Amino acid sequence: MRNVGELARAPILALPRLTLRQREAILGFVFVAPLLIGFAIFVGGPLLAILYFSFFRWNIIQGTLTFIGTANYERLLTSSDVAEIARTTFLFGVGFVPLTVVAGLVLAVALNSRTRLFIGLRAAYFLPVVISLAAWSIVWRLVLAPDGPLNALLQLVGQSPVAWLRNQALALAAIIGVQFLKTAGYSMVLFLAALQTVPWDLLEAAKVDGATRWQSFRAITLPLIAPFTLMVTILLTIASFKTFALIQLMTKGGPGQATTVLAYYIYQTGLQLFDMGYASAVAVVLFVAVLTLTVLQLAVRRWWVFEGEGI
Amino acid sequence: MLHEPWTRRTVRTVLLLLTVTACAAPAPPPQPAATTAANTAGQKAELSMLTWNYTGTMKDAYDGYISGFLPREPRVSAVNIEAQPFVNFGDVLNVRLSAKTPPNISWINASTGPQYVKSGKLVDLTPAIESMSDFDLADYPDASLAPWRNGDKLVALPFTNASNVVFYNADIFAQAGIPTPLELSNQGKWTWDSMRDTSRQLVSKQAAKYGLLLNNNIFTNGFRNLIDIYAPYGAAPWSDDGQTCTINSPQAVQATQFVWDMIYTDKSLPGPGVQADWTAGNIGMVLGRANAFNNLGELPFKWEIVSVPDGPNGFIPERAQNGIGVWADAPNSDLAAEFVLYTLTKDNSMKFAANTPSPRKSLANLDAIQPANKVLTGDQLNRSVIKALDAQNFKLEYSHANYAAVEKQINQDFDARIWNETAQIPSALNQVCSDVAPLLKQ
Repeated sequence: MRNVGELARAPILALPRLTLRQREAILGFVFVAPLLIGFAIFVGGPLLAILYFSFFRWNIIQGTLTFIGTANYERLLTSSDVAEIARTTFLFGVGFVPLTVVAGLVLAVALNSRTRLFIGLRAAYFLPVVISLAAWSIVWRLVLAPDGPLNALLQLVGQSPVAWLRNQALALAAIIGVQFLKTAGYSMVLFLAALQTVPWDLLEAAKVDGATRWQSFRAITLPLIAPFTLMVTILLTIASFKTFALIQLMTKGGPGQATTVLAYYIYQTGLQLFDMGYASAVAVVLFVAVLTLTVLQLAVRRWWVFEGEGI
Repeated sequence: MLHEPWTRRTVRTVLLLLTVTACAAPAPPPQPAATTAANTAGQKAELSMLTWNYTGTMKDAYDGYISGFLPREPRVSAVNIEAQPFVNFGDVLNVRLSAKTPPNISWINASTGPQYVKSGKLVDLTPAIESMSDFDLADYPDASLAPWRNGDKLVALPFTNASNVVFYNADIFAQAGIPTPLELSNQGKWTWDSMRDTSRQLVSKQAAKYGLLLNNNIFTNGFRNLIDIYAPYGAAPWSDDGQTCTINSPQAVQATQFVWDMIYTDKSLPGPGVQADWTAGNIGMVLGRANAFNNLGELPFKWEIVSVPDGPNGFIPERAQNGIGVWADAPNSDLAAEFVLYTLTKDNSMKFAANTPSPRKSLANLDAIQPANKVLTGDQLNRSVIKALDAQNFKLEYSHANYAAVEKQINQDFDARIWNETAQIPSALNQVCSDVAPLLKQ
């Protein structure tokens, strides 16, 4: 019986003569094939399925599927609920992303040292990242409860208790705060890695030339880590659009719809109201929005991302 | 630099391996047979059941059913019961239904029942009932069966007949030195007004942190739990035909204002987001199900039980008649139907009485309920559970063909417009009706 190697050399599988570049390209594709296949099955396939179902009225309980063309999109575009939820989603992103990027950078710069204290502090700031999101959300819901410890602290210093999660204006800010505390450590770790790529001799030379720490940071460090900053911003933007578990466990989208974001609205519409076709349409719009934002961010990078090899 | 023969050999080998792997991938599992009895080859079937409570006396009852059922049905090897919290129960069931992997059997909440009944996904239990000579379907009131009929098919059966009661902490009342709910009830003065006054006094005398707790939290489970005050005030969220919003009626405004005042004016009822537990011993009274607390016998304080209070329209208890059904997309539906009917025979329904009375007419009495209830005495049952069962005027849990959407909208509006300190109840409820009216007609 022939082994696999012999089978591979058999004339039926003989490949034409290829250039070196072509051979390297094929080899590259072969090695990423498992990832591509997984992506196609678990990401690409469902994406296409969602796009398909967005043109149908699909009642998941009755199992009925009726083609309705673009009616779901028309409904979505004229819905005041969706407009409000899209605004909430945007506000969540605007509040969460810059805050987490800046905080991560500040923490990374402050803790960019190999002393034991700073290593310990870095671990402490990273701890929320590894804590289960469910546990984190539930604990913070209790902390922010009307009779929770945060209000107890406020009363200790003579302040009135605050309805953190029951006040329409404050609830979204509270959610942003909780998500920020969970994610700041992740941003910090990414920026710490970025800071290691800044050549030490450049900073030393700047110091010798009389530059202050702030001047060195602004003129040398920031431009050199700009690609990382872009990457962190993109990752956090995508994450902000995907926020679901935190909302589900802390506020269930309330009070009213004050903390309902698009991802949560998709869940409500599809699984609680059985309208999977409409939920699919919202999901498609969310995907396009995230993709557009990502492309925009990449497009504007030429104005602020330094990708040169040296000064 | 890559060596050509090595590269070509490697590429061919990898491609061949990938192809072989793809071809050798296992075939997708066969779809389960929908309705036929399983395993004519002699293998036994395992049935699955989804509930929202499988603890305490509920677990005891179902474990007993399973122990009794398995010997009499050799084609079934096990009945596996899975419990999901009530707040998530609908979501879990819907996901499984949409994936066509439902449990064999599930409980169905009375409120959302119409949506499932009309889905066509529940098995008609009529043939199984007709083949079971001692089931006695006539023992069920027509009004109890009506919500579970889809045309001439009976696709689920009611298995609960629960009303709310009021437990109170007798030690707190002794400390406060005020009449207890039982004393007020015996004097014919147990009304929502006297309950509110009692609750206020408990807090003002610092005998309790809160005077009253609504156990099925109106902020978590929504407006539906206002039914205990809505009904005796003559209020309802929509008309009997489900087409007209009535939640802004004068009666509903009055009832809603009443609850709002207890929370924000009296501060004797916990507001939204407040964690409260009557068994912790710092709350005077709790309104909830008779089987809400599995540890009544171990509480560190004395307690008692009475019925829910009267309103302007008298004593009108709420009654929850949840259903149990068999899903057509799961296999072995005939065996599942057999198990469901077995749990609902008269004898087994009596065993369930520790949790809730049965909807059966013959079992709506103390003789049927007392034997299974190891915690409540005959007197306690008479003045709470039996009183609610005997009431000629009662209100079934709110239900609607578009319940999920209607409930979501009403809860959203209550959350945003009513459960806050500056709410104006009449205008808020008018807005609720504006928002929900189109949904009622869908």
